[in-house]
Amino acid sequence: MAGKADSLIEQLASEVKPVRRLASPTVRFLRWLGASALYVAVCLRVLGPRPDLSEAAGSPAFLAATLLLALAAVASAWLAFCFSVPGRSGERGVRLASRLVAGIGAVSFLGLIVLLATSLGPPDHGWKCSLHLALVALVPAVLLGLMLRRAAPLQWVRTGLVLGVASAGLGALALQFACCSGDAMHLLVWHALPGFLFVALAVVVAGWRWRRL
Amino acid sequence: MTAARPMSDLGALLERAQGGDAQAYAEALRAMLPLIHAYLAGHFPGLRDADDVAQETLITVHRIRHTYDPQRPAAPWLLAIARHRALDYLRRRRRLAEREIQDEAAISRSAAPDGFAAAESREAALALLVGLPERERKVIEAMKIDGASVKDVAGRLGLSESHVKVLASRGYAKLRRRRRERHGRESG
Repeated sequence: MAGKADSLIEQLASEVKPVRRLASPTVRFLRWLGASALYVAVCLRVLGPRPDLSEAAGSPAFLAATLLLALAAVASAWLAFCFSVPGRSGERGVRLASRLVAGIGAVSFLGLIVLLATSLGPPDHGWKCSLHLALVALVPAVLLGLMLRRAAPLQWVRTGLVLGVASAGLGALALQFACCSGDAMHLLVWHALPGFLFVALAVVVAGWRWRRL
Repeated sequence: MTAARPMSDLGALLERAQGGDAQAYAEALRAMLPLIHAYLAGHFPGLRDADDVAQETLITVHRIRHTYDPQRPAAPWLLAIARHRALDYLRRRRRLAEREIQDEAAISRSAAPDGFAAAESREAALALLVGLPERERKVIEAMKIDGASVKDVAGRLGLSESHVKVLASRGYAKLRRRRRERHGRESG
């Protein structure tokens, strides 16, 4: 067996060529964030701001939801870059960011339950909100996937999950500024549900692309 | 095996390997082997094919060597890859074992159970196999008469497990054809 390992090592060493070292997760994250922020800004320009934006901006609920969505999106994207490099997931900063995202997830889940409990009647026709969420989330998701592909996302479930949360989070964040509906059922059916579906889809695609790494 | 090398050395070797230095790369890979084996022995004590997993780890290291950051220690990077390869290996083993169980059940179903069950003695059961090619006969004899598993038969005859299954299936098909022809003659 030692002979086999030796011949493998010789073969690998004979094939070695200079490689372009991967930039640090934070540098790659900042590049992604810059490009994604630009894209989201363009989307918001196209969608137009909600008519009651100045009024809503003063509401604590709006501010809290916006802050949580932004934090979740940013922290998840940074985590995706960290998870795509072997050995980084055990680091202190990564563990803290993971807890932050999990905490925001738990708070959002509780918020959804409260919404569900308080909502009465069928949802309105807000499919355009779902479409907008998907369109805003899609480009950052694809960009993130392409950038992660150059690394080694060995933990594809985790990576797919945070990729989905990061991009769906940006989509939901954009809706905060574009949709003025405060109806609980609308938020649940046309904002939250497509967000969850987007995250699930991201995990499936991550498995399809990276399972065999 | 190379004596354990300090991790800082391994990181420096990997950095040189990223620049295309084949000698440093070979040294780095040699230094990795005992570390991977020690990790696998400590974290996956039941792993039967640690050598295979270690080699798969080296191949993965080769493929993703550009992800190593020389500013950081090499051990967490290397051992995360070893862990991934070990878990992947265990998953593949489990899937293979499940498929083998299904295959064995299928082979048992496809056999001529009444023929073997009806045979009153070992000699009578062996008589059913007369005329089969030698290797098919030996495989079916071991599996249906001696009750050996596919794995045991493979070890005994020096064949791969999949080859044993192929031989058993072919032999059973011939036995079934032979029995149908005999029934046809008797009823005709």
